Amino acid sequence: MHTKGRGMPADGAPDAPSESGRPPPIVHFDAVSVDLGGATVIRDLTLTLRERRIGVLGLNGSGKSTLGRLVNGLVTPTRGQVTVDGLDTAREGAAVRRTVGFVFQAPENQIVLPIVGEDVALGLKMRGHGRKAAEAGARAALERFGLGALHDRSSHTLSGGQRQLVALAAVLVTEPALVVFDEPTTQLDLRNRNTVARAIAAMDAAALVITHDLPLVADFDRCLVMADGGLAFDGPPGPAVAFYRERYA
Amino acid sequence: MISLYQPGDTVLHRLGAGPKLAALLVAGVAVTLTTGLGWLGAAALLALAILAVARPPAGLIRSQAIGLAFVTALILALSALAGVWRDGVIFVLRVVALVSLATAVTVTTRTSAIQDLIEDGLTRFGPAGRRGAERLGLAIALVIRFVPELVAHAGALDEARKARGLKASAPRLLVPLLVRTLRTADAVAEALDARGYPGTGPSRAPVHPAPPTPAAGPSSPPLPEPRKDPAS
Ligand SMILES: Nc1ncnc2c1ncn2[C@@H]1O[C@H](COP(=O)(O)OP(=O)(O)OP(=O)(O)O)[C@@H](O)[C@H]1O
Ligand SMILES: [Mg+2]
Repeated sequence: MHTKGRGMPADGAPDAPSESGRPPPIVHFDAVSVDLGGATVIRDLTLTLRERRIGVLGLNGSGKSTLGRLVNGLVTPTRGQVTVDGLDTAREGAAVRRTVGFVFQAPENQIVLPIVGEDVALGLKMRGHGRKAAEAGARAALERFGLGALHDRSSHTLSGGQRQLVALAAVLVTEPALVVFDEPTTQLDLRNRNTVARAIAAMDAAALVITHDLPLVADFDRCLVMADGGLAFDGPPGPAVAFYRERYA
Repeated sequence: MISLYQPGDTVLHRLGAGPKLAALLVAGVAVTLTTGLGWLGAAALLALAILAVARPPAGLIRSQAIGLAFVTALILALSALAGVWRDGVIFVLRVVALVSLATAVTVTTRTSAIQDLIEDGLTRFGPAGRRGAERLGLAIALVIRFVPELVAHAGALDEARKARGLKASAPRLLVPLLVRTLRTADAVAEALDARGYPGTGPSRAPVHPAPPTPAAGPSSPPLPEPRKDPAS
């Protein structure tokens, strides 16, 4: 069934692909705490995520990036458990990372190979695709994002916006079911910010988007506000943004 | 493979490949970071002396000298025209020092010794074979990828120093550069991990219907079906 009232369709994007995708993976936090460097940065968090578009707001240092890293096992709980579709991130990290992709805050460090095309192909190679197949897949992915012209470019010569888009292409080419974005628009000018926002809206995969860019989450399905390692608010984006503004502005 | 190795029995021939390569690396970094003309001149002379100890064949020296003389003349002329002759001299001294040292190492070290060194190093850190070669390939790619970033960062640090009117000093450049390098290494390791680089994290028993793994056979595994729904 296709009820018309469900969520707000993302701007001009054709709405068919957004509903036709796989169901988002179910991410479950069970009494999770994380201690880093002697401090508790996530406190006793219990939470289930199953929406296609989830925003995460919060002040600097509130634990947003740590929450994102918990979802794909880059950080594992000090106490408690995180599961993705039933897979324990602490024990089955490799499998979890095949399901959950991650786009980092600093795009300069996640493009790891010298040539753009090689870098996008890397994810496919690491998933067992042969050299030829990986190269073809990388080229196709770059074309799909309108980045075909960057295929043979040196990675270190890309602009900030191009880096973020290439990083996104390199993650999406492996077809994760969920992508965690850590402040994907922070370093971008308005035009690139809009390009990235559209790319996220058009994604077939589910997205967990950590951001200080409030309009980015406006048409999301759910929005969390983090404070001091816990949830200060959890609900639809409208009230969440209102809460965030009132509390911290 | 290109090899300039000349059999011989000099001190440099008897030194192991490891120490020689390490020394070359250290010298490369030191010469790149030094801007004092006196120091660089001394380094160039010392490098030429070391090269003489290696007793390279005359033919090799002649061809290298001609190439170097050409580059040197060009750089000096251009930098004099641009009014930055000092930079030109610095560049030339660095090139002379590094080319001489690199020649001394390659003339006295078998290529196989260098390969053995790398392989020995690899087997000590994990299972040998293709995995090791793949990792080496990745390591080299990472170096090629991130050296320009670090050079750019060194330039930015130097600019910031000048903007604040501080004197140039090695620690002032090296400490932040080292910190930055370590941070970058950390972030790159995490990014590789996030993208599923095998060999980090608990990567046993994939639970999802596993894609074909490279271990499955010598030929390229077929492209797994894309998990896409039929277009409506
Ligand atoms: N490796 C670490 N060692 C010690 N403390 C850490 C480490 N990583 C993060 N922290 C601390 O954990 C807290 C939460 O960090 P986190 O990066 O999750 O915050 P954030 O909400 O993403 O902040 P920002 O908006 O600035 O990105 C911070 O106080 C931070 O200083
Ligand atoms: Mg953060």
